Amino acid sequence: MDAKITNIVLADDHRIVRQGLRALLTAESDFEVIGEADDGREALEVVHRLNPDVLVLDLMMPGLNGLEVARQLHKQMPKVGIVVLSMYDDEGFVLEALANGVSAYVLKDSNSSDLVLAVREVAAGRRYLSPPLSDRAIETYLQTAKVGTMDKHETLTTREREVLQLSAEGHTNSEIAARLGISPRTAETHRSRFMHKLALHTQADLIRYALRRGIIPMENIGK
Amino acid sequence: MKILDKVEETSAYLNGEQGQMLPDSLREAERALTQLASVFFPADADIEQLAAGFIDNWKVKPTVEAEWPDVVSRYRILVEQIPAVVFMAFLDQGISEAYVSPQIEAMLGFTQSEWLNDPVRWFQQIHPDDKSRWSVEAARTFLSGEPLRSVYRVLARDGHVVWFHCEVRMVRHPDGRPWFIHGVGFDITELKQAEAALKQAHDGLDLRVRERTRELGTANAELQQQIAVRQRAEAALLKAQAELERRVSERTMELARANEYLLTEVGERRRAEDALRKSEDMLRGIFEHAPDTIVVIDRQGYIERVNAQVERMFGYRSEEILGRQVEELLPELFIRRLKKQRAERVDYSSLRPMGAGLELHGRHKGGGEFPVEVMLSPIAVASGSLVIAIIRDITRRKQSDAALRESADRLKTLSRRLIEVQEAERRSLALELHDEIGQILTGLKLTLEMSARLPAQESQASILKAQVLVNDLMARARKLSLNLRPATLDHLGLLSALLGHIKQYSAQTQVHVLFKHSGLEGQRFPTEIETAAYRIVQEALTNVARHAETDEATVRVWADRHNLSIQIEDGGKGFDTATALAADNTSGLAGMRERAHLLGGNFIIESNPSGGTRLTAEFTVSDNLDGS
Repeated sequence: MDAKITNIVLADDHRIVRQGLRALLTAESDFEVIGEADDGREALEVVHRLNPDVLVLDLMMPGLNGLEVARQLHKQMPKVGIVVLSMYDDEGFVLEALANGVSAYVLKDSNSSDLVLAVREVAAGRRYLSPPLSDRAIETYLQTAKVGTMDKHETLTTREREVLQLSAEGHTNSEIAARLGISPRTAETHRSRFMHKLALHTQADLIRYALRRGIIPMENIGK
Repeated sequence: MKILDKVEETSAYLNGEQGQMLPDSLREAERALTQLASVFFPADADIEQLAAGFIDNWKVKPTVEAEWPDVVSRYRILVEQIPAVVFMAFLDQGISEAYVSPQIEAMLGFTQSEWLNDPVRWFQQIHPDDKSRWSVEAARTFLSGEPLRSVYRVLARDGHVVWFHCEVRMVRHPDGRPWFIHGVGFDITELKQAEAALKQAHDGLDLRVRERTRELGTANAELQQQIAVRQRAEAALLKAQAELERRVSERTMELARANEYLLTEVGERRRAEDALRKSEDMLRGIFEHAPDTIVVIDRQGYIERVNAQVERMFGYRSEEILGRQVEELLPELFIRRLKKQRAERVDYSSLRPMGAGLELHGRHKGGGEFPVEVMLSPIAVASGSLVIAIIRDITRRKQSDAALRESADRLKTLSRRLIEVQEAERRSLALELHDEIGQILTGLKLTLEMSARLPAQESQASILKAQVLVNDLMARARKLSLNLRPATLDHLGLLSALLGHIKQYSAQTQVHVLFKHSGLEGQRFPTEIETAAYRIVQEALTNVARHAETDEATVRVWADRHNLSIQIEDGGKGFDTATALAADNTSGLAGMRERAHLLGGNFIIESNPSGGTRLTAEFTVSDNLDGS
């Protein structure tokens, strides 16, 4: 075990956690904890001053939170490996952390050996995620998060759909109101709502939309 | 002019040849006579000598007839040849000694002897009209010795008149006594006649001239008079005209002054009228267009005047209600009046409002009643006292009061519910801390204490057990924290929070959630809106799991620059919207709606007991653009 010493800085707003972490990490012969920080700002300052190999960073800290510290540090000192320690197994956080230049995401309730492993991996220039998290889970999450295409038509209320169809068929607000047993004013409100939702502006837009959706049949046109 | 011309013409005529001729010929005749006379009567000095010689010769004539034939005959021839009568008479001897030349006969018809024989003949024959003049002039000559030169008329034998120009001289004796006279008489009848004719002509002319002159004078005078009259008239006219002018200008000035004054007055009056009209218009406008019904009543409560609002508010046309009792509009006023007055003869002017206004009911013509506020104010006018009643329809106010009360009630309910929820949260938190975490901590403590007492090789198992307990404890703490408020909502935003929640929800409830969203990535919204959106999704999904009896739900979230909308839909068991809202049960529908409304958002509940529920919430995230 005469390998190179890995210099570590700890950043956590709880002293007791830092003490535990220091005990855990210094138990490893090739690890050395060279500095500690109480909050995000101090973490930046200490890392700048000491230029460690690895920063073990609590995600939730007062003032400047871990995600922001990671983002700034990654820009300014990209060689410092960042290991995030978090209570949250939420993929959102994991993704955000990774996006901000974090190399390892370790859950606080995972085994202590997990953290040691993460530090080693990061020091070696690799990425690490705690066991409950996996690249696969992240992948799925990313896909879910990116389901950006939504059919706006689904967002229409039943009433709005009824008004849309009658309007596309060429009925006036008064006729629609009479047909649906509502006031013309209400009919107009429904109409402007769905027009807005569907980003339609003119009656021509509306008819084009209704045709494309098959809400009104082609042969109705021109009658 | 014409008249002056005439005068001029006349004067020229008078001074013309005819006028000039006559006096000149007359003068010429006189001159001839004088010359003739001087022939016969040379210078005075010689005459006496001549006469003496002549007389001497004459005296001796009869005797010495032969001696003087030459002289006598010479003179006789001479005397008797000249066309005149020559005479001579001695003043101191009888007439018989006189001489008259024979021409007398030719001239007067008397022979020389007849003439000389009758000593008074000649005097008799002198024209009666000239006799006295002859006497006077002859006497003067006899007395003074001055020559007589005069013209006399003499009557001829046949009675016609012959004019004689006589030249008579008296010759005295050497001692001075008058001796004789001698003279010559020229017949100047023709001359006289010509003179008379001339004179007559002249006189006629003169008369005519004078007449003409007089006529002209008259005409002229008339003209002058007329001119004068006319001038006077003109002067008078001018004067009158000047006077008129003066009066006119005076009058004009007066009128101008009057006009100016009138204009000023009219202007002032108009201004005053304008102001009055404006003021009246304004007052009428205020009266007629006031939003309230204004009723003017007399002391007996009869309506005297009312504005147009009465029709809108009470259904009466104003002319319909005039003259009727105010109680027709405000029936309660009667009771109030009775209470107040307890007198037979009531006086509305004493009906003063208590405080701001009376809240009464108005009665519509159609019979309906509606709440009104009545302000009564008595006013004193010339004809007595009146009361102005301002009636305001407060139906809407009452409604909004009710709505406000309802809203306040709802808020009260909500805050009560919030407190309840908070207490429930605390209770469950306390329970969790005590029953779960507390128990685990107790177990952990016991395990660690036990392991401390155990020998080293046996303690290993206890520590492993403790480790399990600690992990359990951490998981519970994390879950507790997450349930209270997900950290992702604060740090990563709505999308992350919803993704986390849906994942956890699906895992716990076995309800598959189809999550569709657009416009959320990388977007942050106001914290309170993100929180509300998150809580509504959380609550709605909880409802699906609890009540809908389905294993599928859809969550849609979409955002653009202005709006953030969320929708939770399921195809499971629905409910009656009104009942569910009214029940205010654990479904939390009212709470969701309140959350949306508090942030100015919409909340739409669509549900049907036969199947399907859709909740939609819409929030405005930016109001700096039109938005719609």
